[in-house]
Amino acid sequence: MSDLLEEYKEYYRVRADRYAGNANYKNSFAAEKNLSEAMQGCSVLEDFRDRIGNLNELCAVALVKDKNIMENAFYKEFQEVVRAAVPERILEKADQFNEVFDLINMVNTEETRGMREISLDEANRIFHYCWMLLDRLEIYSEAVVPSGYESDMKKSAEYYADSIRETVRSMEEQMNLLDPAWRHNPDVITAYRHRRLLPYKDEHISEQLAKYKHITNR
Amino acid sequence: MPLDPMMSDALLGTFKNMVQECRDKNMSGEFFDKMCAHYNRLEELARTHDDVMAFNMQVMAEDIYIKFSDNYSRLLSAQAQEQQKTIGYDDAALLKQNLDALRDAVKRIRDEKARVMEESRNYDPKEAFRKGMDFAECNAGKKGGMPKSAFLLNGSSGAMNRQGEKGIDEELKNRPNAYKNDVEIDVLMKTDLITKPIENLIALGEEPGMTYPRYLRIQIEKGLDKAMDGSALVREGLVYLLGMTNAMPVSPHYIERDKQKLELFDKLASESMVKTPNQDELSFGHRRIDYVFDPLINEWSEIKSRWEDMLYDLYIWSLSYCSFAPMIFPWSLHENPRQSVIDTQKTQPGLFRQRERLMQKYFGIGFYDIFKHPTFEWDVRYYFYGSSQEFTEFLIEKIYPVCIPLQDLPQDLIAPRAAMYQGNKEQNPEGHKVSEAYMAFYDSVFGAGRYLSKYSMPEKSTSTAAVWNWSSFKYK
Repeated sequence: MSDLLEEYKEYYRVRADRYAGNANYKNSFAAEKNLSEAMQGCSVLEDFRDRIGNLNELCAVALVKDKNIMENAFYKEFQEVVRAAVPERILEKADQFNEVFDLINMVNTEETRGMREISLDEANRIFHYCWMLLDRLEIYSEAVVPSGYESDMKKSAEYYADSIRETVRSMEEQMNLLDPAWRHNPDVITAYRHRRLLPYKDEHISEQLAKYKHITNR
Repeated sequence: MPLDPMMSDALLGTFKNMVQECRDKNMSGEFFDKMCAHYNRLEELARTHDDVMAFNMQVMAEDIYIKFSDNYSRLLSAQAQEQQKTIGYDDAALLKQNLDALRDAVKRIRDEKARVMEESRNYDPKEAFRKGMDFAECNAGKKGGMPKSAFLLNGSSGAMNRQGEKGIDEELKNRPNAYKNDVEIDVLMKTDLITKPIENLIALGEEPGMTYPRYLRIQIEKGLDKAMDGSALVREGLVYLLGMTNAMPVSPHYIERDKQKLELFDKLASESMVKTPNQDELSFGHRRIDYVFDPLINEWSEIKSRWEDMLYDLYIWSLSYCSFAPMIFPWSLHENPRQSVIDTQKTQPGLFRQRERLMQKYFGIGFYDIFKHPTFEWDVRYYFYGSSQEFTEFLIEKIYPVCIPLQDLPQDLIAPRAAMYQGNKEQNPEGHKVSEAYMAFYDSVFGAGRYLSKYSMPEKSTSTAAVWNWSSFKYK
């Protein structure tokens, strides 16, 4: 049994050492070190049962914190405020947990809530898709054609305006399955997380956005 | 109307098996009951939703997958803890329990591969077609279903089945593996890359005199636990993706993105003591690469799509003046082809000039700048560009200057334009090379001749135009 004790001491030491010096896993290193120290202080293996307490669970909490700190920093770097909110909430709650299953459940619940929020936020990118329809509306409205064709051009332009309204209506209907109160908000498009995907200048985005808001009444 | 059974079976199958597995092991209690209740709710939603997206949205809104998994995990854990209490601390038993779980994992991975390969080999496309038609007929006229008239017009699903099966027979004559993916599964599911590291762990645990704590320690020190997390498979996937992107180089940004992802993997692996990248660092690194390339990819495809539309305007407008225009696509499909031809002649220049204006406004790219833009050269170099050099130069030199609103194509250009069409000079004579490059890549991965046993031979261009010679293209 004494050999086993030494071997467990070695194992817990190695477990802690794998995080040593890695700034991304500071919490894990501290928690694993506490666990290892509890083991190093045992004179017989059975002592560990009394000394371990919730140290093992705290290692899980620490790892969740480290991963979510990294996640949060990553999304903040790219101004992804909706995505960054998920790790923020997990970090706020993580220390309340002593039981691993409850911790996992909280993380899964927050991540799924986050997926819903991200889906709803990114559904606003329907504007990106409608850009092409707005351009067609403009092309048909502005095209110089013989006078006999002007009403046809007008009809085509109206068709594209209707397509934009229908696209938005259908997206709202779909998203209302996730959140019955959700309504498309074109104003969020200018936030970096959405704007960065549009290969256009700010002035062009403002111009299109004004037209789009007028057509969709959003 | 319920979800299509083929869809709901795929969505619910895993959960159904988990419930059955617990039932087979005589598990019971609060966690099991809750698991069953959540599974029943999934089945209920599959019966009431006709649209898979609506089904997924509601499952997500109710957190059913999380609740199911939470109770499943708690059930298994409670059972393991109960067993542990009965046994007490037994080093050999703990080691054995761990190794048995690994042996079971190896078996499951191999069995699963064998199962999906077998399923693919035995796939009966006619049966799948019949089932699909039966489902469609049962639900005809319901929300999301086909109209009843579809079946009345075609004489019931029986007649449609016979017609469909005949088509499948014809297809299989030419492409015997059209519906089989066993070779692809065998190549892509490189289970050895997962099972080998697990077997290395088992071998470590089986070493004479091995204890549980020593076994746990050595796997950390040697990185055996990291090797088991499938990073070798991740690398294989990255190599495959890069190969595919190189074979189908839609834009340089895709190639660079996939190249950087593979390079990052190798860099992190080389820096690691255990030669395996840290999964967190790899994941953030890959996401960072995506953030850099997403806007570049969007800009590339936006610019390309705009000049494609502009060149199409010139193509279709000039073609509409040829005497045979009403007899060919797209006008021949219209109700009044002659009138449609005239409509094109009268309206296309106005539309073209608006597209030209928007291209200039958004990207500062004028008409002649298109041919100097990297997107154009790239598409010519990799055969994505559909027109020949001769025809493109004709559009630039002869058609563009006269494509003016309220004006017609000058009479003297109609004959040369018709000659381009009738002499088959419009198309890029090497357009088929895009598919050929992909076919070569496919066969290099899945075996010689595999592509043609599943898909049609890329149609060779019949264009009589000369091949593109970029150095002689004076508008570059």
